[in-house]
Amino acid sequence: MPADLRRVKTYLSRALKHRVLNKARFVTWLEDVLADDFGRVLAVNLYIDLRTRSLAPALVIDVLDRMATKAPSLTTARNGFYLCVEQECQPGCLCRHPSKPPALAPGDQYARILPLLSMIDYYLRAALSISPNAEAEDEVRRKFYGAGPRTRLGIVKNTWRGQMNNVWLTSLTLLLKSIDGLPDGEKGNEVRDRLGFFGTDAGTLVYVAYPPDFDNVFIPTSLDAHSGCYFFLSPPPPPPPAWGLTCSLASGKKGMEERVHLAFDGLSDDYRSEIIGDITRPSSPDVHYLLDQALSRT
Amino acid sequence: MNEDHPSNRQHFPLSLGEVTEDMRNLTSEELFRWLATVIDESSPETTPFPSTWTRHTALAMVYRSCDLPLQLRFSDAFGRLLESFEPQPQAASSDRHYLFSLLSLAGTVRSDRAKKRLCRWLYLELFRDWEEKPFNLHGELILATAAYDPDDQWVEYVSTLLPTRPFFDKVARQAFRALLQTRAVDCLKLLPAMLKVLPPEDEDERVQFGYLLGLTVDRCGFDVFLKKAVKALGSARLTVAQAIAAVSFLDRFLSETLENSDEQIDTSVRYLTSKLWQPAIEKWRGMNDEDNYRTFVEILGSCHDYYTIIPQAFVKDVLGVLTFRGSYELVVPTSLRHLALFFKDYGDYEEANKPLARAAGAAAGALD
Repeated sequence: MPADLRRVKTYLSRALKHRVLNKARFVTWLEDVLADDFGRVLAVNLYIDLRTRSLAPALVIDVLDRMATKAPSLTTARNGFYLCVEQECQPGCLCRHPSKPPALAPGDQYARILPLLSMIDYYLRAALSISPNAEAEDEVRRKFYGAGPRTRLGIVKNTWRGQMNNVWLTSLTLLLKSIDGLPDGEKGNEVRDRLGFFGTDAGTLVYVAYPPDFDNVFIPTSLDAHSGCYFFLSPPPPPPPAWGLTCSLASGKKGMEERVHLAFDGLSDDYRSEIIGDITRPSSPDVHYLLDQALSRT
Repeated sequence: MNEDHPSNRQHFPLSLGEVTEDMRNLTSEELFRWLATVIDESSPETTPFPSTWTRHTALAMVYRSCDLPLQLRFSDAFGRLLESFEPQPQAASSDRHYLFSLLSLAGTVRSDRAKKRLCRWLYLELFRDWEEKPFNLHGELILATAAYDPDDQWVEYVSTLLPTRPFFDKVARQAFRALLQTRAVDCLKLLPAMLKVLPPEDEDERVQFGYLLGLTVDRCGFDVFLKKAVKALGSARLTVAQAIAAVSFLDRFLSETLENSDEQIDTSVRYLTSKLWQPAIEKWRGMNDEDNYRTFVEILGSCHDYYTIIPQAFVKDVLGVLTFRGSYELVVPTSLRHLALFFKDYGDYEEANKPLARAAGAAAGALD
């Protein structure tokens, strides 16, 4: 095990072992989580969050204690941890970074980036009474993104939450800058890679721009991630972070800055959505780069 | 043995293409078990693919990326999965979520086997009380079955039987959408029932139903829409208050939808006035005092936008004026008891609308 990881292991053990209810289970879990690359990334994220006081130890201990009351997970230690976060620890562990992030630059707005099919599932499905299939996608493209008069997002009154009760955002200015000058066929790929959307190998990415005065946001921690956030990395110290900084899927590309907010019902006409671009090729996630980046932040 | 091959990387997330390739090597039984595990979010296993999608969306993407032989095997496994779901009367949250995922996928992965099971559930109305917020799962089932080239029995159920059910209000928009998808303009047969369950003060519901009506206009054109809508309402034995509310709803919808076409708005106003408004007013006039007053209160409850109170100081014995685009109906109190009831119930409303009431009073005075 590299020296950096040994340091992470020692720190987590010292910080958590004496406070968890089931010490033997914790020791086993820590061994297991360090056994594969994505588990190591989780361990590093917890290390960063605890060392920088971005997370109170009690929040992590709560997850570990709840996990210890269940039968040992059939999946990896890392996935078992996030299943517990998803199924048992929300909303107590979401949006718990203690520092209020600085305001956006004047003229900037927050933007949520998601696949069009997820846009339908989360936002439009209930409002339009639509079944999520190819026909629905065609209709939404025409009515919400077409050249004619567009249906406005105020029609969305109830949103479906899915598994997580939080939402990830980036800066609209940063997003537009990241795709400026790219050919249309590359815009979706670029944003997918830089946001670490591992596995999003087809479909279309869209963004939802928030009203300019929306500011109820938090810096993300490792407890805001979920089992699908393989490329999330906690922001490095010092100085105190203003944003989360997810790792890009590919080396040589910078990750995107991110913040989170707790989910809420419905949108208004002050929100607007645009298509970013189609995903035209599969991603090539570089796990070694991810781990290098993670360790470089320790 | 290639240790880097995806199938050898236990718990390592796979790309869509890798998942599809792995599926190809599974037997039918293995494919069935794999699908059962992946779609169940309460399963201790995580998905094989990391994703910003939900599981049903990810599976729909996998299905889309399969070639035809693999799609057929996928569809068959999905049909078996539906057949193996045994709903319990007291559904646990995980059951409801699981069913929601199945119904979400059912609109994409279609098979005869799936159709039979879905229709059986539909006609038995097994899930009428099941919710995965904000969705009613019977409503989602109606939408899912609409994707399966439904037969006459299905149309009969959705257009005729469903509106008689006490839970129709929970599934009304899904039923309308399903009929629109499968039978186009015939969906307007549901319009009277829809308007009966549309909460009069619920602006959100109005806008969302208006969206579906807009799709109907897109599909069949303005003229056909107007005629079919009015015909459906005219033959639906609506009460006077329901007819007035229907005029109010349609007029507002058409004004917003046709905002740039004066000619179409004029046509719709003429049509609504002659076919719905005037017959309703005639019927109202013919009622006895008691029914006349009850109707008046109902109208106020559902569309008081069209009603203006007139202070007695302006026009003696005229309580107010009900107006629709140039048609006026004066409301006259029929007894002191009714008048007392009215002011008890609507005193605050009158207070808040004094300036408007004065203007309308003057207008009604001119009519008088």
